[in-house]
Amino acid sequence: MKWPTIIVAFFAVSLMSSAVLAQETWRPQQRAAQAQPQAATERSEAEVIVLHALNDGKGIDPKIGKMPQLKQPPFSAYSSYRLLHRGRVNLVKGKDATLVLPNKGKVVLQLKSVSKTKKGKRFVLATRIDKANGSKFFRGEFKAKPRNIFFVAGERHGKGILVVGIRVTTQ
Amino acid sequence: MTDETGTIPADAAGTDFGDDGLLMRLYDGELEGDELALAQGLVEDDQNAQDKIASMAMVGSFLRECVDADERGDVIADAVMARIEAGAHENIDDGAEPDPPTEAMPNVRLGAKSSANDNARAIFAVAGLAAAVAFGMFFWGGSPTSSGPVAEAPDPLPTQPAAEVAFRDQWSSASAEPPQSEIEEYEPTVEVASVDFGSKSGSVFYVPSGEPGEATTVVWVSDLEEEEEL
Repeated sequence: MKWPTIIVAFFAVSLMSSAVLAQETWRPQQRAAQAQPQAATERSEAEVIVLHALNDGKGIDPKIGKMPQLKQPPFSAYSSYRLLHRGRVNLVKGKDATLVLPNKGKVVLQLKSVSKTKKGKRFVLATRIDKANGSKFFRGEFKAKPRNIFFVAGERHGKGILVVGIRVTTQ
Repeated sequence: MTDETGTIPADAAGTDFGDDGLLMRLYDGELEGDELALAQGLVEDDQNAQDKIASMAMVGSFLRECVDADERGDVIADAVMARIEAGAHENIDDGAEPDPPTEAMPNVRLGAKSSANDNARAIFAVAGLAAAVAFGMFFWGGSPTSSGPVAEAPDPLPTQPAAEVAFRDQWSSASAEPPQSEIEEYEPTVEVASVDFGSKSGSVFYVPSGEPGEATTVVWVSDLEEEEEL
């Protein structure tokens, strides 16, 4: 075997060894990066408010607090909003968190993942609303910034509709 | 050419084209009974029929010889290739100078001369392959940029979902058309990844939240089933 051949073979073996070593060096960093969001999800929860929208001209219930969205379309289709329920559910990744609605329907939330973007954390939340008879009313998946509310509205309740507001919070 | 029983009448059994099939079947040994007797009688009486049978035999033997010659050609080719390989190994083992090139066997000489470099080529090929694998492991297997799908995942959702059109339509129906720049200032704080209204209809609205530049996501479902029940 000639010298150039030996040198090339030695170079190749060295390169492979370096690549394997480099992988091993980065692996703990990868594990740490993956573990960080998991730790964040353990302390997540969702605030759920349930409003009853009616057209009885009574205005917005003061218990609801500051919520300027209710004066704008499409909410402005109803003249009054009454707070029916305000509660919190713990969010554990991959597990359902259920809240029973005043009409015996259910709101089921499941935290799918938490991602960290340049603009901060994003919580991917699967949301399911079932009617009292168990039939499906709504299925959706949202990617939410913490402390920002979103609404699912429209389910008939009495002479009006239910408006469900969901806000992810972290402790 | 045939009567009601399907046989060829004797008066029509001349040496015309229709009898060729009968003669071919006779030559192949496929005839029986009346057809066999008819064909045999035809061959005995008609010189043309006898000639045709003879020509069929000649063509058959010619074809068989062609097939045999083809098979022999393969055997010869195999023998030649074996001899070429044997000659190449003899040259290596003896350490003798290779034969001068001839037009008849150019590959023998090339094979004998290049065989000494085969090991080097193989080593270079293996080394190149190893280097490629190493680079592949380095860049795709262990790169930190590919290790953080949670931390660095690209935003899979469009910044302006299609449902924003609904918001725009709703806005325009509720009040005067806002300036284009005013709509684009709002960014939804909650993005809709997917919605399933089932058999119902629904819309996604982005309502100004009161905070500058931020819009609240509102999914509005038309609960028509309940309306019908009421």
